[in-house]
Amino acid sequence: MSDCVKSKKLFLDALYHELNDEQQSWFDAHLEKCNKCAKEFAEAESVIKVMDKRRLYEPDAQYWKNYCARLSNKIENVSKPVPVWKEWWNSLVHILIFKPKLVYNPIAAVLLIAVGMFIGREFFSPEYAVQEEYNVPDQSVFESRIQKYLERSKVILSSIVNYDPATDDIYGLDFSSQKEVSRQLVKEAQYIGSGLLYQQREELLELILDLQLVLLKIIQFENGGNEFEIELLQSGIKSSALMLKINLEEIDRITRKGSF
Amino acid sequence: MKEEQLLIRRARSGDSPAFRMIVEYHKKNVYYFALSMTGSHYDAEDISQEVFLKLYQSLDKIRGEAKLSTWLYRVTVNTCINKKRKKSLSALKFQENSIIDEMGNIQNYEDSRTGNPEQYTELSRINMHIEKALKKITHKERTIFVLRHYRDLPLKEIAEILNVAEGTVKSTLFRAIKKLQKELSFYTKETEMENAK
Repeated sequence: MSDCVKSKKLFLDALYHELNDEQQSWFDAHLEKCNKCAKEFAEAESVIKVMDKRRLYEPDAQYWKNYCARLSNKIENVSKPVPVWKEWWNSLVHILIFKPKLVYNPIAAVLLIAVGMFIGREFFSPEYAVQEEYNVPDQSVFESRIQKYLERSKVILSSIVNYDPATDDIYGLDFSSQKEVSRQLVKEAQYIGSGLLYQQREELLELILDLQLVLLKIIQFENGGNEFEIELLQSGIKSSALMLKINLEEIDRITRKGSF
Repeated sequence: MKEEQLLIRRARSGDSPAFRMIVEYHKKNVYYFALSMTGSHYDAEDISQEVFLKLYQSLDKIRGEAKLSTWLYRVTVNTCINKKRKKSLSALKFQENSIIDEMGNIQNYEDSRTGNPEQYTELSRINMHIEKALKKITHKERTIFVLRHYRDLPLKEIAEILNVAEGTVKSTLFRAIKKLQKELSFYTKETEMENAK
């Protein structure tokens, strides 16, 4: 290891006077020999000195004396139960004002799908179209695709539900992979949805459509996703009991398999 | 540490004086960290209270494997980020206003001690440039610099708070110092000249 590389390793500790005697004397000796390192260190030292001049507000004793009383008031206010409908209403108003895209885009997407389904049902022969596209006689393939779709959706939903903004690393907030998978699942949902419509399995179709709405919202996440969007989605998933519905459907499927 | 765990356990079971003792012990650390991050007393007050509110709501989740101060610092970092996001969302320019407010406070503070108008004007000017320089570096760089420089935490503990490797903390701190040096080059040259004398 060259002396300059070694001095770089000691640089920060030297800056904050945390080297032991031996390290300090080696570091000082190196700075005497190496102008480049000496200059770099002097510059950094001068920044530290300037930053030491920063003066921050000093609250008085009265402020600290009343600190806990103010906190108690806040805790009391928060502890009062807020009706769920009010929470939902506030979130909706907030989104409509600040992020209208989040509401209008999924609604537009769902409407588009609904219109497509309506046109398909009313103006084209549904039996022929679905049969040709989904190869309905091969029911086991169709069922395994549904199973896979539910499993993958569950993983995505779990990553959203388990995100805890209070303790998770906010720098690591990145849902780009979930967005990509959600895109694939939305495409898959179109296939599965049409198949279920053809087979008139309304309950499962409803679950698939609910999931599609959540997946569309994940696709709409700005950048990697932010805490507000995630919290909103978490409450949506919770209130519509989506995880429970998926679990029940899976149990039902296992039971049916067992009975065959 | 054992005493702290005992207090947490008592607070969890609804013992308000125990929770109050925890707050009393940590309030200054959390407030001054938030103040060093934002430069604004009003923001620091909001953030520190929100952090203790989160602590109150998360008492059941705290297992006591890590120091409580580490948890509090981590939540303060996240709360500062959220506060900044909410501010940019509502498009309010608190940051600029807060500097002016804080400058007012600092001027009074210095004035009462020195009684020298030239000195406090100079200090206010330096302070304003330091605040601006700190706002120009990234949030992560600022967090690490503030924890090391103003809260005097060892690099290992900073790494634990931010859940990153110690090497990452070192390189980020190094980068932060370099950037600050660039932003404050006028003053650093002045200091170098003073040192040379």
